[in-house]
Amino acid sequence: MARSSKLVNSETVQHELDKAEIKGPDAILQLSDYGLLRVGSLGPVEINWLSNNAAASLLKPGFITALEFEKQEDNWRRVSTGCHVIDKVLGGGFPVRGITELSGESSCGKTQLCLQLCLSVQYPISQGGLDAGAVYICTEDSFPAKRLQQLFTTYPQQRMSPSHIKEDLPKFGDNIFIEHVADAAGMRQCVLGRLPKLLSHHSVKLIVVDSIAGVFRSCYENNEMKHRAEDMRTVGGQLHKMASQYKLCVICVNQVTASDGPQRSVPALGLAWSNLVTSRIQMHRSEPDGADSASQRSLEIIFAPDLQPTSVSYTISEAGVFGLAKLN
Amino acid sequence: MFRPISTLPLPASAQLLLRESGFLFCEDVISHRGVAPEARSILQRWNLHSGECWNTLTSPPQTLNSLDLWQEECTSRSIVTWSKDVDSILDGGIPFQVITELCGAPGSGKTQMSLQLCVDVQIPESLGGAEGQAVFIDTACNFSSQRIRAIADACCKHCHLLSRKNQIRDFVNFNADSILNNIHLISIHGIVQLLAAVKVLPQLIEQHPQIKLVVIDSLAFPFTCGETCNTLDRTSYIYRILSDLQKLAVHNRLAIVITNQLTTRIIKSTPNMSELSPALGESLGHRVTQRLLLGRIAGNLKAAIVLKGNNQCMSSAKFQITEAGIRDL
Repeated sequence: MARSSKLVNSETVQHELDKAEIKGPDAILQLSDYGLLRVGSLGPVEINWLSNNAAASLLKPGFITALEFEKQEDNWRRVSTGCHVIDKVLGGGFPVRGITELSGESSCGKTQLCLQLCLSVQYPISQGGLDAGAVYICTEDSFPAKRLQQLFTTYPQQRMSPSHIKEDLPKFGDNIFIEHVADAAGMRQCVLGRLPKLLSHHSVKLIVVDSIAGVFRSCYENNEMKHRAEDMRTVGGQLHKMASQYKLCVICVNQVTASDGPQRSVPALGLAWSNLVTSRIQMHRSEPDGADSASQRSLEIIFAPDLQPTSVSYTISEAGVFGLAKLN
Repeated sequence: MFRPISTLPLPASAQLLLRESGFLFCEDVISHRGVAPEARSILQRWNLHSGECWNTLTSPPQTLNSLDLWQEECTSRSIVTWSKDVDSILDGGIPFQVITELCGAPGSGKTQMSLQLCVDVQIPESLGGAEGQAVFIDTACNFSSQRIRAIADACCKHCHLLSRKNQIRDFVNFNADSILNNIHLISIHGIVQLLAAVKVLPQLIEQHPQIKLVVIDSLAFPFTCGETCNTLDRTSYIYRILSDLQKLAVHNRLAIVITNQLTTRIIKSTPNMSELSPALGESLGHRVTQRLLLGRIAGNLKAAIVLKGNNQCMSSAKFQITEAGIRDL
């Protein structure tokens, strides 16, 4: 690099680029080396220098070793669910990375768990939260405000320091931003327009989309599947981008669809969506065996880059969703 | 047969000047007396005027005969996947100097296999490994330090056991920390950053000549997520990335592993019919040397099928993913 930069007159190179209207490192890299040769009078040495510099300027901080990566504290931070049994299965809580999908039949507790996380994320980092607010995007029903109000009083009392929470109690509601979206176009507007603006003004570390299937399952005809896939990629890509830019946790609730495979139900929206999902978690609810027993609920990790496929059973109480420790 | 000037990688304005001065073929420019004076004055602007530079521009690559290549192939070892069954369908593991594609649906073990390979490439030479370093280009936020440490720990334990059994010494520096330290990681977002990362790879390899494996997990993600990119551009970007990687692979004896998603392809001739196929189009299948399809049977039980390979036709194997990494059943 040092040797070649001596051979290159950066002013003439810049002049050539201006003449060809190539602006910025993005445009340089989008052209191949042969494309750059065709631009004008840039020689091979100059092109090599130019594209290497352009590449280096886009890759800050560049390559690090996995050992250095491991020491970075803010990688794979997690939002605690407030229940140590579920947290243990999830490796500490919901990951701050990519998109986490939470799927399950209706009334199995998906929304309950998400509401719980909206509170949990506001706790200080020492208590499993991220000390920041939450955004809740509703697409199916109206936001369950009543249940949230109930959780304000019931849920935190399970936590460690009640004195600390007592004085903070009214703040919980102020840090949850709620948005209602009816269709795919509205969803695009929300994640591409309004959400980035909100994130730049408020400290938000959790985005819940309840549910992603609500917008993408209904608005399309059968022959519009390609269109649907493109829209899902736009929305999913933007969520990924925000997740890494602001280091926040993204949870997309999904519905399930009947399947003829070994599992009775699989998450909806097909491969086009699941290719965008980083971690997939499914909640199950089976009918009670007898008249006196309650229905069985379990939370299962289908896939995640860092977790083994496991499952845990849970119950829903007034205070939220809580795991049941295994008896054996 | 004369070689036209237009086939050379010269700037457009140099081509024009040479053509205007009457130089149409390489043989016009250079003779036994060296570079013609007129051409020399034109090429001076790009520091290509010496006969030596000109020769490197025009000289054909060195010829090798197939016996040399065969002998080299016989002596070169592959990177083991730590599953004997998978290794056997791959004829010993992931080979060097070629591009191997791992494709599969989400949860089929692509990332786990990539992480495993990053560790396995570092097995010391005394135990039959490549004792190399690895590069991991993470496009979809999939790299987990927790997982890589678990896999590295298990690998170290096994290697230390083996070395004790076979009484091999000088094994002190091989531990989980050293394995993690030998994995060069970059996390990128979007197509342009992916192009940039591939661009800076030669420099990285120059600094760390021990690098023996480059993984892109996943190649498809930047193209199928976010930015819309037309198919023609997409194909040209992918071909550029793969040909740069291929050059590196041959030149530095690297193994290249890329992961790819599956996509639902709608069959137009029969309505309401669809099939699963690897993403990024048919063109990618032509470019990669080996294609391995991974699938999930149930939970941790996975299967691998060779879709394309030089040495064997369609064959399959089962493997599992445990806490310690990829293992046989």
